[in-house]
Amino acid sequence: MDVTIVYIDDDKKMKNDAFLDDIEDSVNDIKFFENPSDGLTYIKDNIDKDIVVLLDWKFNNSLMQGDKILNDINEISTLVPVIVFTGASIDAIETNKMFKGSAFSCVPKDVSTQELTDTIRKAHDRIQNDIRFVMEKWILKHDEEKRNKPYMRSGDKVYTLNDILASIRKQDEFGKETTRGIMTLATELFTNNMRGK
Amino acid sequence: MENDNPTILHFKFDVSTFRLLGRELITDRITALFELVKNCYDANAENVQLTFENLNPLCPESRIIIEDNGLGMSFEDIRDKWMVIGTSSKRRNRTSPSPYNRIVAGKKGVGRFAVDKLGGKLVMKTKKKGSPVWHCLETDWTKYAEEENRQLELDFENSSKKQKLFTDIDNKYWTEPADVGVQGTRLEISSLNDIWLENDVRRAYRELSKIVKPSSNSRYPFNIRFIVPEYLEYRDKMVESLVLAKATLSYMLKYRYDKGEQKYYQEYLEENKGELVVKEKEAEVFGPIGFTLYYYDQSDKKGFSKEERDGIKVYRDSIIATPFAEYKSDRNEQKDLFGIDKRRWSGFFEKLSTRDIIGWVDITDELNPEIKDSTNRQDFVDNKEWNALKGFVINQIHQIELYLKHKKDSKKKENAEKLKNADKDIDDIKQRISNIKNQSLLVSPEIDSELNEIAGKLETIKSTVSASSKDYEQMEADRRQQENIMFSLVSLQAYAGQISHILRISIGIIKRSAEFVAKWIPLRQKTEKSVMHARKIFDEMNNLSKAMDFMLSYAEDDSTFEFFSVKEAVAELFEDRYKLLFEGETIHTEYVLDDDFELSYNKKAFQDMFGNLIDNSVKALRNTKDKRIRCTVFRENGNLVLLFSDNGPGVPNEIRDRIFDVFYTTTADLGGAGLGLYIVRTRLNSIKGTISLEPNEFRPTGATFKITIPLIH
Repeated sequence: MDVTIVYIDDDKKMKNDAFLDDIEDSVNDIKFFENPSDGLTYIKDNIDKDIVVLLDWKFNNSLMQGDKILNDINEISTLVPVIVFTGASIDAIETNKMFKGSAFSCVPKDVSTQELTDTIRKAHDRIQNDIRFVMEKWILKHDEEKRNKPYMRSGDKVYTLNDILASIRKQDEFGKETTRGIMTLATELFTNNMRGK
Repeated sequence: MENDNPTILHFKFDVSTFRLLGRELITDRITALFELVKNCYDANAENVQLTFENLNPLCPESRIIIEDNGLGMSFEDIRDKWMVIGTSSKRRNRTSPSPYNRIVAGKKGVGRFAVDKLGGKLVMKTKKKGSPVWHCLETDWTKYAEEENRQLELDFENSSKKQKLFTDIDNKYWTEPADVGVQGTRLEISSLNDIWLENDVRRAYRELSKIVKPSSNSRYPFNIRFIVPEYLEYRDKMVESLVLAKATLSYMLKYRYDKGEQKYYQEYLEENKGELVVKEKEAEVFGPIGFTLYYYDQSDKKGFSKEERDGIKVYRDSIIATPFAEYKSDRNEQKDLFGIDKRRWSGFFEKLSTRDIIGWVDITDELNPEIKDSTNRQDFVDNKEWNALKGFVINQIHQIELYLKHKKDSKKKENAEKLKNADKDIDDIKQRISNIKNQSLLVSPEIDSELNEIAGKLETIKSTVSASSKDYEQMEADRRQQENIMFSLVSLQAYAGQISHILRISIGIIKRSAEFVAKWIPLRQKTEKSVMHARKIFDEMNNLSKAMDFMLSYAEDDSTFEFFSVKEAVAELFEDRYKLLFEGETIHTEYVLDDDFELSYNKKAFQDMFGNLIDNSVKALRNTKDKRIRCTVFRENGNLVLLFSDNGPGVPNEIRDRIFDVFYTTTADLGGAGLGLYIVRTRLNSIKGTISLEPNEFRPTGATFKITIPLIH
């Protein structure tokens, strides 16, 4: 898998978990963070990489809990799949917090390596097929200079490719609208093709 | 976008705003109605009339009409305020115009979009006093929906085709002649979305009855009237505020401002030796509040419908602050804002539930600015101030619980006392009879035999009384025994809760390590790591079996007394039973014993007491960085003394006296039942031991408990 695993868990023991030893050869990199803020900084600095986040939910030594961290990741980009990995019993209220923050999945801490690997693969696949991701990749193909030049105008605002990228990642109103527009256009082009136009 | 035609008005907003406000913010039609009635309140209306016509089945004549005699709007108001979102004048002016000065209830200026939730079409007629005409505006929301769908079908190729924005939708405007002196607004909503059954109207009625605080006898009343010709009960019905039947207990806590000190002082309740006393302290972080609380006991509950006893609500400037309009017919799904029923064992052990109380917290925008509605309007923003307010309310309820318990206990004692005295009274009567008999002059043979008979009967009564008295004592002993079993279960439950989280993690580690070994050993790869994981399986398993041993110890008989070594018992706790927990929570532990001591007591009960202290400390340490627990054991004046300390935030001064009370807890959210220290104290008392809170050993913060047990008892 062409992916970096970012694992945020305050339980040091988990750093030596067999799961990580098992998948180390089949992913690009594994980054373990005991401190959530360090994890967030890493995600921010490496946002152009393909990342899947494994996130513990109940943190002992920090005022920052899973839901807060999840929201902070969403702030950076909604395109980073987050898998909640927890030993706690999760009730409806907690579940709500996770999926409101659009976690990809929630996996209890007693799963097998096999199951966990499958979930990571699914998260990675899902994101590969997401139109927003395709747009992200397309924009990133351009060099930084080109990305900072005005690219389009909508209403009275001018957007650079980097602006569009940020909007797509944050899924703000403009980001959503652009995504929707591209989808509609793509479908239109596709069906036009079929009709032989 | 300007338009020259004065008879056509355009809304100024786009698709997403429309969807957000109209459909997503207002999730329920009762909430929608609620928002519209709040608008009437904000417009200084005194009377609001809600008319529902042809509700079932729906037909072209089906409509909901909301009429008020509020300030109304001018043409400019309609154009510049009603038609523009987010420019709500309510945001700038926190109160409605004089002389009402109502604090505005609808804050976001979105109430008007609630109409969309009720029906597709709106005809609004409105006028200010002095205006010779009604300003009439027709909005057909069904057209907006069409346009929204159209806009979604973006046509990229053919951009010459003119895009219509929402602002281009026509809203018909006209005027109608009117009496100059009249003012108000009339909303007539048709193309209704849903059938309204009688039950729906009842819901609306019930929820609207909560809109204004029950006791608010304002100089400027706010009356809501229902006109529903289809349903007999609501044919013409005024909405009455909740009538408070005679409550068993009622308290109204106020606050005052001290000009000299420039501080607010808050009244609060405190139970003190069977009395509920109103005291005063400096206002807490959430600001000064008014708090009214009614408690109903079994007999006072009668004649009072269940639905009307629905816990504690929050009124901001006399208007209900969160939309309780999201009515749930299943009580269990209803909002329990303060978490009164979430407390473990609520309804048991003399704990009050939301069904026993009615009350309201009065807050104001000015004095409690940090108590804010969350954006979904279903709750308050979860901040420090709101949590402190929750704590305050729960604590006040707890004071009433203590008071009730105390009352019940003293009644019990009184009855036991009376039963004992009855025995003496009978002896006394017997003595008097024999005195009479001895005055032989007065006593005829008939009287003598009569008296003998009475004395005989008294003897029977006496033996009945003394048997009852014994039964009563036995019953009390049984009850205490049952209570002990219950306590034991509770501490097991707390332990189970803590340990299962850790077990799951431990099992996961073992599972994946085993999986690793099984996968890579046959492939003869990653050999070194495989050995490491095999070792890890062994270590984790050892920890698991220790945890299991202690779970099993709960299954054993706990009534036996034995001589045991205190050193061993403490070591078992720190080295085995709680080792996993301490590791999991990264707590540094230390225990110091000068010498070993033998104690004749039930070892498990002794360890349970520690278990309770440890549980408390673990909870207290949850936000501490460098966590420490320390236990010191020594001998002092023939007593065994144990000091037990943690370096958590410590016990706040104001609750120092209450921490040993039954059901006193500050950690209900973490599953704390408020039984731990009570169990410790009760168990110690039974062996003439004591527990107290001492100046803390750790500096600057922490808690230290001192336990004293006589070595010979």
